[in-house]
Amino acid sequence: MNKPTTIRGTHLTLVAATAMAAGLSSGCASDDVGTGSLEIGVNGGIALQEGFPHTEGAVEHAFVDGWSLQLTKYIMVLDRIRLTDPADGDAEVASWDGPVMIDLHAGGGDNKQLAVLGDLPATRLDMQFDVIPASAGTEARDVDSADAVTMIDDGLTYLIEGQAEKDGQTIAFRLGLDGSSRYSQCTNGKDNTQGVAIEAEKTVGVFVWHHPHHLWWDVAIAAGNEQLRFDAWAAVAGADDLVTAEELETQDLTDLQDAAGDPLLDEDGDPVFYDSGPALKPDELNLLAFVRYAARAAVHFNGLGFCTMTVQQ
Amino acid sequence: MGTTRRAVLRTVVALAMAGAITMPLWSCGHTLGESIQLRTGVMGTTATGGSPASFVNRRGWQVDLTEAYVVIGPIYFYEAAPQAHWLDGVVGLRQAHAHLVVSRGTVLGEVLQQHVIDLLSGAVHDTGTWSGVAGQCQSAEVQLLPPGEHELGPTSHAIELVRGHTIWLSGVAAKDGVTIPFEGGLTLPDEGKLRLIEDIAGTMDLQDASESPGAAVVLIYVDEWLGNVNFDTLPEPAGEGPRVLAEGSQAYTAWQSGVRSRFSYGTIWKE
Repeated sequence: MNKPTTIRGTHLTLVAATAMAAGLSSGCASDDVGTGSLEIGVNGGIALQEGFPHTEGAVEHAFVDGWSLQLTKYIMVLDRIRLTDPADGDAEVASWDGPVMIDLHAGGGDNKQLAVLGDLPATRLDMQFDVIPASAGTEARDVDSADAVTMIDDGLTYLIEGQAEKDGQTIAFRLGLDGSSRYSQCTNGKDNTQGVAIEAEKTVGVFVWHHPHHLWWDVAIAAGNEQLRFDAWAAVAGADDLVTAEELETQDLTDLQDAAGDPLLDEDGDPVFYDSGPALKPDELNLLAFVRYAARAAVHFNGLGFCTMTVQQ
Repeated sequence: MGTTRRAVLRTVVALAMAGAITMPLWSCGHTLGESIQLRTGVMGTTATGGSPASFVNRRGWQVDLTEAYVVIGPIYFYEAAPQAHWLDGVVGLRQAHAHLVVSRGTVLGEVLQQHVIDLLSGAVHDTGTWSGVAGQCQSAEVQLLPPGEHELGPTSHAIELVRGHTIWLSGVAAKDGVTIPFEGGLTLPDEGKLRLIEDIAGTMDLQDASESPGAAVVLIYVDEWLGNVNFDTLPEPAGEGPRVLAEGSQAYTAWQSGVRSRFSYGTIWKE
């Protein structure tokens, strides 16, 4: 009686091992997992609603050089969202075709719905999306018609407006940025897992988060020492007290100057230093290049989730 | 079923299970790497491979260096590609953020000492042979700490050459008929990651490093360190002598930016 048992046991083990090998090597999911939906939004968080300074949890986000700042427009262009199944060779499961330009500040800065994708397999999926310049076919949502024309005519990816105040001085900014980036293999900021788990018979919500703080940090890649600064912006505003992209380009990161042309000093009287080391090439050390990098780096998934970003142009 | 057939079946089962367990590792591209002994080095050069003793910088200054010393280390050679290489549009960036630690893959080699390097010697400075792992190195990290902040290597006798700083330079810069002798030291502030130069690009095959002649070498492009320096922003000395590369000047800030830039470094397998 032992022999058949042994043979049968070996046979079963072989079957199990084969199944295990197949499962581990191909990552195949079971067929009948049910379906669910995914609601995808986009927002800029509390900074768009309250400006700076503001408090999140126990952390106050304030400019160390004393400026307060309010945003009035925060337009960005999102394009083609793809949901892929990592267990099936990253096969596309569903997609949303953009592009759409959307003002994240409009309506008080609340989350904006981009799309709802239904009939998705109830399994964990990866998300990929693009941020691209506006073009003639770009749909405008909550965007002033004149701004929409500017976005398209100038090929802008972002149009960001607002003003900062300090000691009775008001400096406005209107910043158009171009460039195309792809964000893929996103980590979910909600639970630090990769992608999003679709749940059967439910609608799961996720959002793309453009994190405005990056634009005014003094480090290209934050490591806990980042500070919010506006003095270098204010210094190039000119007589009209309006900062533009062209003016940011005149601020040399190796020779930061105040409005009088003197070295720009920090609150301790030391020279202000922007750490561009990991990001900018030596022939592009200006504040516009730094902010352009920052805008690209500011895109997160579902909170502070990070994506693999690839520059498309 | 006989004993032989059962043995065959058991072998098949074992192979199947082993395959099941290890197949994902193969397909994910992990380094299977065997242990290696990795010879390492550091060398001063320019971005174009010229002598760092004499070059024209981006701002039009003819720079002739008489001294260029750096205390460098630890150094790490990683399997993963640079994480911040996105500006080239080639490799994606796992975007770093406050408190985020990005994965750089397996450490294939490392130098766990500080070494004093004469960047004008024209030769590779030996930074020792270290245990490592066979694989394809795609990025590196160097640490620029104050001298003595880490264990010093065999060059500890040369530590006075950097005058208490991480880097010491002296030389003469000339432009439009103006000649400016200069000297000075630089120590990066102890803030955030300012003392870590991460994501240094460069590919080296370390599969057969133990048997291959040569060493994994970190290149320091001295001309990029000083690429954006305007030497006439250095303050005039009170008396005789060179101008000092003093904090607060454009020259110092530009120098610091150059030292911080990952584009001022490279790696190469050099025989």
